[in-house]
Amino acid sequence: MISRSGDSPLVSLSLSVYRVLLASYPQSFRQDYAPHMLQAFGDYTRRVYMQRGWAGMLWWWTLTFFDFANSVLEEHLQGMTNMTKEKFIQLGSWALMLGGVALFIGFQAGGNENSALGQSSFYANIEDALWLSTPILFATGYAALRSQYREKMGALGNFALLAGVITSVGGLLGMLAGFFMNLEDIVWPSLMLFFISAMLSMALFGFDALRRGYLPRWGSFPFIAGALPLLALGLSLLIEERPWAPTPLDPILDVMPLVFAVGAFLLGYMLQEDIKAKHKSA
Amino acid sequence: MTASTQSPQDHLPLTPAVFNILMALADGEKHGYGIMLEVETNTSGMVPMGPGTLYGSIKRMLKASLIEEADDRPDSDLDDERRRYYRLTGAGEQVLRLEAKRLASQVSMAKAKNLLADLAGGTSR
Repeated sequence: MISRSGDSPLVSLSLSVYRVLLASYPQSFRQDYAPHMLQAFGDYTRRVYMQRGWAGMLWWWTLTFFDFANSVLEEHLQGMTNMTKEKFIQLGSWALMLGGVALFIGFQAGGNENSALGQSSFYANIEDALWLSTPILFATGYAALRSQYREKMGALGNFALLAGVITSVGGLLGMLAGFFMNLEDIVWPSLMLFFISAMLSMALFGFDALRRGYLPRWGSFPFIAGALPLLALGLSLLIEERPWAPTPLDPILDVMPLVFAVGAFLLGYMLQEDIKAKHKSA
Repeated sequence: MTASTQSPQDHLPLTPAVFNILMALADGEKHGYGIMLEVETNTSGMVPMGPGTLYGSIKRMLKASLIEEADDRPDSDLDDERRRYYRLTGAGEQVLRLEAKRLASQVSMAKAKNLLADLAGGTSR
């Protein structure tokens, strides 16, 4: 036990919080060093508390927080640099699933913007964070899909996923420029660039996969999840000059982005299952 | 680049964290908390070192063979047996000497430009 019976409540609380923070480090680093980090942190915390009291603890926690944020990022970045192909694909599968969930929540949040909740700044910040995180997640997921099926896919699938990665990064850069350089006019087009290219990439990849049959299950799902929302968007533009005006098709159109979000989640899940199956058979 | 293909010169310049950890180990093996205290004393608290920076640097220094784990403990009766002790390797000592020389030459240059006159208690210019 790192905690001692004579510890003050503040020291015990600090140890508990630091133990939780240690869980954020990469697993291999945690296995090797977490007990020693906790012990060193505990010893130093006791010393600071005895010598400098509350003020010292405030200083020590400020320093610890920056030390934690900096080192956890560094260890993860280093882990990514040394990552094997298999680990990258696994990360990508999680990214696609999370991307699907983020899109789902983002679309739901967008639909509630007239409510009291939808108008709160906290809610708006969450929505912005979701829109900013999805291009990163999709770029990682598409890169992992390309890595996993590169030898089996045709030129169309290869091009579709590569274009998906590039336009996701482009969409993200546009949104970042819009948010941080006050270029609000480019936020919406950047978001749309990301959505449409992500859907198109999934549809073309799905078509390629369907033609060549390399997905282990739900072979038609990526094509449906990518193509249906695009088709719906095209239809809405054809039916109405003003696509945002109410139409009888609206209930169906509203569901379409969610189809894409579910499709991304299932594609990520399938990728993860495929890695597990290959790992077992190896 | 792996540890075996790196010359001591390749490690320079050292980061403040690595330099201070090597300095702390220069006069004998120490555990993590001991290194934190030694760095705090050596730098008059100017380089505060948290456990994340400390053990992240230790991991990289072990990989580069600048330090190694010590099996024997200074006094096993008085110490917690879970603690891990570290000591300098020959390569680590060499790198520390080279970095100290490099810094000394920079300090000499600063002196030649009369930049340290105030610190030495003299009058500037």
